[in-house]
Amino acid sequence: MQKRFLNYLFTIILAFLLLGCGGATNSATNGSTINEGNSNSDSSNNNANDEFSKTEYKGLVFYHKNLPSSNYKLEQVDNNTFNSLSGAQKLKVANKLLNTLYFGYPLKELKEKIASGTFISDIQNGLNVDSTDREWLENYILNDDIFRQYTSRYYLPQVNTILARFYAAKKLDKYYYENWVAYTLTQTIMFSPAYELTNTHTPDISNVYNHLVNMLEVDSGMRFITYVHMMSEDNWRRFRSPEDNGREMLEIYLQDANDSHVPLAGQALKNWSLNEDGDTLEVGLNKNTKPIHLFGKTIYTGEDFYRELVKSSAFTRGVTNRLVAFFFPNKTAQERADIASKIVSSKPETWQDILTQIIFSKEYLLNNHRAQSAEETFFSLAKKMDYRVKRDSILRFREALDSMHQAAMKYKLGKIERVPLDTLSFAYYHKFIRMSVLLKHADASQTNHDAWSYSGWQDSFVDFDKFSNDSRDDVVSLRGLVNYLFETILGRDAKEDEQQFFKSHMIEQRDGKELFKSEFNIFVTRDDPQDEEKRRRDNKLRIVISVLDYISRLSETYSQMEVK
Amino acid sequence: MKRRDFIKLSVLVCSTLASTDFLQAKEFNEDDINFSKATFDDNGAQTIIVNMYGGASQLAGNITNIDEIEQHSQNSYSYFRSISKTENGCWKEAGGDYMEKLLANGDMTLYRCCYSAIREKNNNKSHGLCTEQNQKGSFDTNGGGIVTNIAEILDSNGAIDSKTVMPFVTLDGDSNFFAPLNRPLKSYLKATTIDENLDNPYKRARWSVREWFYYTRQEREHEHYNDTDENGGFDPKFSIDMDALAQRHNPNGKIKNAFAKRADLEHFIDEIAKKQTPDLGENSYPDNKFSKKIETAIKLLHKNPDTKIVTLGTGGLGGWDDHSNARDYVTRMEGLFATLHSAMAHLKAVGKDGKINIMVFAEFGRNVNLNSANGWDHGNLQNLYVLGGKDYFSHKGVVGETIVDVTGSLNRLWLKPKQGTYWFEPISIASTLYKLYGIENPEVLTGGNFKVLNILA
Repeated sequence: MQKRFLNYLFTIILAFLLLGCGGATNSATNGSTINEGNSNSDSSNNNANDEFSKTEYKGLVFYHKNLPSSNYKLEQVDNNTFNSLSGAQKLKVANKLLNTLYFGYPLKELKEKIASGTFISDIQNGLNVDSTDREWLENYILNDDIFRQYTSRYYLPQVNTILARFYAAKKLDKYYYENWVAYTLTQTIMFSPAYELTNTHTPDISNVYNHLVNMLEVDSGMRFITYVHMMSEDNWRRFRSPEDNGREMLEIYLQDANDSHVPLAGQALKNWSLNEDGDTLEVGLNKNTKPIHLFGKTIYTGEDFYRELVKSSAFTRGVTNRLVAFFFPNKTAQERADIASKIVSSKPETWQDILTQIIFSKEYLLNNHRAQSAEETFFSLAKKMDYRVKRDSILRFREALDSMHQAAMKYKLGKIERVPLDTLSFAYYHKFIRMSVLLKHADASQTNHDAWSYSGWQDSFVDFDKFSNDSRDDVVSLRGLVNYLFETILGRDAKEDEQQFFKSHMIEQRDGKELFKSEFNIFVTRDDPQDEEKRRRDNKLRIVISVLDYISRLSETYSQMEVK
Repeated sequence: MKRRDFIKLSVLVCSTLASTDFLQAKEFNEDDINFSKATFDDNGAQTIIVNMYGGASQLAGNITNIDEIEQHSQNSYSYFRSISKTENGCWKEAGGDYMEKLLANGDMTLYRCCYSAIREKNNNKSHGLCTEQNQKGSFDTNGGGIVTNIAEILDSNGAIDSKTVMPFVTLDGDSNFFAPLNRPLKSYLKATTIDENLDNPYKRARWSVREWFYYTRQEREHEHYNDTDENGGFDPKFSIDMDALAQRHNPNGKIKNAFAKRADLEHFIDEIAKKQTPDLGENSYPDNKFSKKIETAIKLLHKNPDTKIVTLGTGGLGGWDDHSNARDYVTRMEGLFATLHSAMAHLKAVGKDGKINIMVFAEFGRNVNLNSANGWDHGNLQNLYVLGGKDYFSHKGVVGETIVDVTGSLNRLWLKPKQGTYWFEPISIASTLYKLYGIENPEVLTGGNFKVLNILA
């Protein structure tokens, strides 16, 4: 598989060379570069003696193995650090990590994993191992009976499929992680397919995303991935003239906004254009032949420009800054710069080198706070709550993301403000989580996948064996249920005033005892066992809905908090 | 291209690209501000800021140099089906006729030389940084946004207070106009977001709040328990207390603020939605999303004089980053000015053309070379369109003359201010807004003595 894909990539490169976009020979007029003495290319340093990574093109190394975490310079949370935290802190950190990955476990399972003492290494190691039955997963998310398959571009079927995959995936493994990395990158300015633009087309969504997944799968380095992306039609549909494309590539990947560099990039790209006929990238043979000084090199052609851009040392800093900003939006500029410097000093060559380093870091897991994206909230809740979707639920989620201004892959410049919290955007976010997730209980008897009542969290989420309860003590049982819901959703117990709030509404003094009011009595007895079970379930449902409604009104539900 | 994309870019680039020329603005000291309550009260201004995200070309309002441009342009302007000059040198097909009407009625000043010598020096034509600078009203991007600064100053001088209803509103979400200072902003000064359709996600479905088991036994026995709101129906205390308890636990920040405003907004939006636009006859709004935005903004300002500033983008018309296939620009400008023309008619119909003004500008203008993709790349001179506000603005018609700067290098063909003509840095827009709202020494906020536009006495 790897060899096949390698050949495929070579074909792409060769195609460019043969089309005259690049320079396969050493002649200056054919697009070679001359190093002007600045040693700003460090792309081939890490793996110079590694047989695996010797495949290169003019100094651009195609493949890299991920760095071992021991090479990371940003301090990491390891098992020891994690195990030294209090029980409550462990739960918060575990939730933060899993939510970040759009994943979650039911509370009991999560607690067992935490208790193993190897929670962190188990999660991290799992991301390197293939354990998903991909064929099953890919068939499952394309099954029209389960996830309605839309053909009209109006419904953005490509985005729906990508989102459905996160909902359906059962294991946090290598394939899942590669999808998560690809998804993360496509939310940023670097790889957004930008379907809001009139020049882009919906297949660009899957092209950008799937190419990322495919290239990650065969250990492609981040420079190579970016190089291929920049030269793609998908990218040219986003930035459409030589000057526009050159300017934005410099600004996006190198954070170089010096206008005097723009005409140089434009000159190198002078024979590249987006033809109005089908918004097609067209590369002419009238390539530039005058020497251009950029990146400390002398370049000629558009291909030179893209290649030397990704080879430059400013590239690593630029893309690291982008990702640090994405995950640490509330840190000061100086704090972000410090985090980025540490990551850069570890010499990352793959996207995973940066992303894994971020999400397992102390700075992220212990000291960071930020608004949680709707994907993080929804997918993790779905896993924790045994949430069942109906056929169009994922479409509705995608539409809701749009209303929240968190649309996936839509924006020309990506989600630079990842979670807009203006009153309107947040109102939609709250409305979706409250109405479509937390208060949405699935009707167990409903078998029609199109029915409104089919979707929601299932009774199994609040089975009696999930929370501590004692039929002889209503107060303790209510407390147990409330705490279970708080721990599952928020990773903490309810505070005393919160417990009292529910108690005062649901418990009454009767016969000198503190007992459930009749409508909340989860231990109600009836002669008919079926009737009893139903009444108990309904009464429990009322408590759960009340508590979840309260939780929906807490900012913690929409936030990742510092773990103090 | 959507407004959000451009405002968001600024967040990323600002930290690395801040100009070194202007480092004195930062956070202002309240004691340094000279505020005139009398000016604030006399003007009674309300402003709609329209941001043309992406950087709109200035050509719609200025084709006085078109012959010379055509001579030097890489691609011919014959690409556009028609370019006709109006009496004042506007592009007839690109909103020019509407501009002429607005000029003839004394409703608008068209400034043709909003130009940045400072950006020229600093080699800056970046969307992000230019947007941020314009919206913060300073070349130093460390400070707060223009609206934030105005909010703080009006509040500290008692011009607005906690009883003021929604003083600052946006129809396009957060932007650098509302960028925070390092000190916390009071909740009632923070911007409220609404949308042009007055959708009301703030409203919680009645059934979800009025679950029967949310009511106490006593409440369920109340005579109006089963009634609608109009007939005395009421929310259960349990739900009301739930909000209060949650807010006690919610830490200060945007989410708490959003929850705090939810209930008020639920009713406020319904009230605005009930307000009807008068029949504007032949001047009625065109049918597009941008028109809905302007119409909603005017309805809001008319209904609620407490609202001082509304910001919005031109979503619905499309973006202005016309690097390629710029033919659509003509249609967009026509749509923009048809709407602005209707907006003036609307303001007049409700008697608000004296108090409400509209300012239309972008992060920058565009290069005038029609490039290989039949578009324009970034430029450094733009138009500023100022409409309405006739109680305090003395409109001047067309102001400023341009020349073509032929650099000789590929794709570098610019419009620049003619020597001796009236021109100003984009930061002057902030200076003017500050002055309009009673701030006598805007230079403290702008980090430089940028002129206040000559329409303001």
